[in-house]
Amino acid sequence: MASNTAPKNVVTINQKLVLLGDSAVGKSSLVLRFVKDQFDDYRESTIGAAFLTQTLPIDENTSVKLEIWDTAGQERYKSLAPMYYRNANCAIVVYDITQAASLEKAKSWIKELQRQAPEGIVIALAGNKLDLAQERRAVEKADAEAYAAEANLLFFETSAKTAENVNELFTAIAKKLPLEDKLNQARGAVNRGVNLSEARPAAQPSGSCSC
Amino acid sequence: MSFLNSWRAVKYTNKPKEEDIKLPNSASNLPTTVQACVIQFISSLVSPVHPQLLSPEELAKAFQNFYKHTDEFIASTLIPQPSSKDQNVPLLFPEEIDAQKKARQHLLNQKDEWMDQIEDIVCEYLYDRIFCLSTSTDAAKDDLLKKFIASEEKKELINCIPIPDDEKLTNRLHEVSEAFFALDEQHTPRSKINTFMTVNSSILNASQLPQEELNADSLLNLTIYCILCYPGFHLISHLNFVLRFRNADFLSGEQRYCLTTFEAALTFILRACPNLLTQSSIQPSDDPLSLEVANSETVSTSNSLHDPSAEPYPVNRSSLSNLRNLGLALEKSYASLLSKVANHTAKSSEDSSNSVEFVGDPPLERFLTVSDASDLKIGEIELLLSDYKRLARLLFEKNGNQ
Repeated sequence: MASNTAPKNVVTINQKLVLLGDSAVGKSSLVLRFVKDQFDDYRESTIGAAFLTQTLPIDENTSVKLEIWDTAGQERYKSLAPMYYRNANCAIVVYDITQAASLEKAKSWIKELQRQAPEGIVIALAGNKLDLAQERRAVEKADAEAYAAEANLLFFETSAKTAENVNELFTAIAKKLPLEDKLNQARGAVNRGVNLSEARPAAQPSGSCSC
Repeated sequence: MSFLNSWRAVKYTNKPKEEDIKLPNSASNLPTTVQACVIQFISSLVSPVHPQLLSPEELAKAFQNFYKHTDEFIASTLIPQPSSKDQNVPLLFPEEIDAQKKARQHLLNQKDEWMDQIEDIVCEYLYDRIFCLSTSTDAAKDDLLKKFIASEEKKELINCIPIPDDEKLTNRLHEVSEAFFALDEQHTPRSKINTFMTVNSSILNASQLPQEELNADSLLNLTIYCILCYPGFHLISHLNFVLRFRNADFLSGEQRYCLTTFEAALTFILRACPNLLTQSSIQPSDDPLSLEVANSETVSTSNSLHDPSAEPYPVNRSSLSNLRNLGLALEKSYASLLSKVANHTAKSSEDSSNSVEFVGDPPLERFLTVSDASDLKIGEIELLLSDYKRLARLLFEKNGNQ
C-alpha cells in the first residue's frame, strides 16, 4: 500500500539465550520447533540447529532478537558450559518429563547458573516431551512447578512434537527480560548516530554455502 | 620477531616519532583526522611508554578501547546530528525526512566500513608484535597441542568422541582441516575469522546430517575431530588473535557462537593432555586456567615464590572444584607475592642511589582485606589471576633491571 507516513522507528535489541540440559531431552527439537513456527522470519542458519535467531515483537516500538545458543549436553562436555553462557541474558534449562534423572541434572544446571552466570539472567525451566505424558510421565508437573516457583524461575511443560507451550515459553522469557537500560541506550545511540541495537550483519565467508 | 624482543629493542633506541609511522596506501581514503587517531594509537604501542610488558588482557582492552573511542569520534564529528529538537526548523515533507534518514544510514555504513579498515590497518602493522604474544601462554599451548596430535594419546581421545564410524566422513574432515593452513598467511582478525567460519560451515557440510541433528553435541564432536586432523601449528594463537583484536561490537552472534565452539573444542583437547603435561615445564592439571598460573614468568624465574605446601591440583575433580582450588592457591600466591614486593620496595628505599620507583597501580584492595580465601566468589578468581600476573610482572621487571 502506498503511504506517505514515515515508517515506525522499531528498536531491536539483541539478547543471548543459552539452552542447557542432557543430550536426549530434546533441546534442539524445541528451538527448531519455535523458530520454524515463526514462518515470516525463519531463515537457514549456517550452523545447523546449534545457533538460531528469532525476532519477537514486545510492543509496537520494540522487538527482541533472541540469539539461541545450543550447548553440548554430553557429560564429557559439562565443564565447557561456562564458555557458552558467558554474557548470556537468559537461559532455558530443559528436562524430559519421562526421565526423572534429567530433572535432577536440570536442577544442577540451575544451581550452576545461579552461582556463575551473569547476575540478573532470566532462567526458565522447561519439561519437554509433554506429548508422552499420558503413558510415560515420570516427573509430576506439580513437583517441578514448585521447585521453579521456589527458585523464581519461569516454568513450562512443552512438547516439541506438538508445539504445545513452545511459543509461550520463548515469549514469556522475552517479556521478562529487563530491556529498559538497553532501550534507553539504543534510542539515545540512534539519536547520536551510533548503531548499538544490532550487530552488523556478517559478510558471508567466501566458499561457504547455506545448505 | 617476538613482542619481548621488540619491546627490549625499542627500549634502547630513540622514541619513534609519529611521522615515522607510514600507513599503507589503503589508509588514504580515511579522513585525515581518523588517520591521525590510527597513527597515535600505533605510536602508543610501539613507544616505550609502558614500563612493563602488557598482559594479553591489557593489550586486548587497549585495542577494544581504541575501537570504541574511534567509533564515537567518527560518529560525533563526521556524521550530522538530527535537528528534531530545534523547533525553528521548518517542518519537512515525508520525502525529505526519508532522504535525510537514508543519508544518515549511508554515513553510518561508511563509518562501519572505516572501522573495519582501521582494524585491518592497525593489526597488520603490529602483527609481528601482537600475534602469539610472549606475555601469553599461546606458544606453550600450541606446542602442547602439536605434541598431542602427534602422540598415541590422540587415538584414545578420538575413540571417546562419538562420531559415526564412516571412513568417508573422516576423509572429508581431514580435507576440511587443510583449510586451517590459510590462517598462517592472514594477518587481520577479519580474514582469520572468515577462515574459522568457513571451516565451521565445511564441517557441517562434511557431516551430511539433517539440520535437526546438527546440534551443539554433534558440532563439537566433529570440530574436535577436525582439529585433531590438522598437522599444522599455532591454532590457539590464531584463535586468541581473533578473540583479542577483532572489534567486539562488530561480531555477529553467529560468529561469536562459531568462535566459542573452537574455543571449547581446543579447551577440551588441552584438558585431555595430562600425560603430556608431566613431560613439559607446565604443571599437570586438567584446567587450562592452571596453565596460565603454571606458565607465569614468576614461577619460572623465581622459585622462591613457589609454595611447597600448596596442594597439587586433583586431576579427578570437576572443573568447578578445580577452579575453587585455583582460587585458594592464587590467594596464597598473591599474599606471598605482595610480601616480596613490599620487602623489595623497603630495601630499595634504604639505598637511595638504587631507589626504584614503584610503577603501576597498587594491589587491589579487595584481595588485601579478604580474611579467608573461601570468601572469594568464583567470578573474582579471574580478577585475582589477572592482578597476580600484573604484580608478578612488576617484580620480574624490577629484578631484571638490577
